Amino acid sequence: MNDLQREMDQIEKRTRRYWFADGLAEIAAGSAFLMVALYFLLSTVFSRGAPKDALNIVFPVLVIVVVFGARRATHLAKDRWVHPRTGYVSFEPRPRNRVANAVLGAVIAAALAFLASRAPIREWIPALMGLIFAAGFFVLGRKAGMLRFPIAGISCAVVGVLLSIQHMEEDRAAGLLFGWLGLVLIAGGTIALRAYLRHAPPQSDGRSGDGPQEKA
Amino acid sequence: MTPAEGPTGGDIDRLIHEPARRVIMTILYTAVSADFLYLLRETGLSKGNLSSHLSKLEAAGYVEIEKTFRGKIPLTICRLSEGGRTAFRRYRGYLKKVVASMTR
Repeated sequence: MNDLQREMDQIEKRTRRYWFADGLAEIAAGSAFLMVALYFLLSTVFSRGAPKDALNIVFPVLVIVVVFGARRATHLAKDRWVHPRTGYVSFEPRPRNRVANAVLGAVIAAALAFLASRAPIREWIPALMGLIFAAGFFVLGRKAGMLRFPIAGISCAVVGVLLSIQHMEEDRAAGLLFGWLGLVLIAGGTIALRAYLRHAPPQSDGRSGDGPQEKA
Repeated sequence: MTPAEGPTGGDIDRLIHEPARRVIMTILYTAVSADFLYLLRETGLSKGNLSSHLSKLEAAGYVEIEKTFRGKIPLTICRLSEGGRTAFRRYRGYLKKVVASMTR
């Protein structure tokens, strides 16, 4: 019986891993993080006046467009390259997961905003953000049984701590941390995509349409 | 046979307990839905065998099957019904109980 449970746990992990097997989701998420990094780095260049105001107005819109665009692009790329090769699996989060994720995100954002307002702690925000990313990657890696996520998480935590030790300007530190995160995700995703395309040749007989016959 | 009744033998759901169907149910419980090609690859069954197992699960009301098209490519999408989800949760709960009683 214990073996049965282990077997089912493995199947669950393998199924969850399928979303990340081709690396496309990581490439999309990495691109989104690079855009966020760009905002913070541009903030250091345009530190005040009209350009800064324009940046602050454009940024939220940009984030929404990039997040939804990345999501849409991931689905389109999967439809084009992944589903015809190894099959289609839908991973839409269930409504209660969406609410839980939104609440968790809001709590983390509120905690960071609170810390940002307290001067002595402010310079440790990159370290804290790095640790939050690391925790997220560890959870993801554990759920999907993938090693590359904890490795990415450790690198984020290390970079976050290093940036905090440097006592760098906040926007620059945030830009560098998000930039690092974006690059790590894109690099991991690209390696995964190459490996996936090498090991999963396209199906030629359109087997996805088979299945139980309709009853008369 | 309704999903609530289930084809049970004692406390265990025999329909789910069959190895190939257990794999199918576990995949569909984890994901929202999966197509025939994915299930074929993951179960390692032949097309005929997989079709037969899916038909049994569909007849029991555990699985819903939708035949559709993605562009010009035919697609057979399978997902667990609410009854199937409940039955699978019950099945896992039973397994956990058995393991717990064995380790006591």
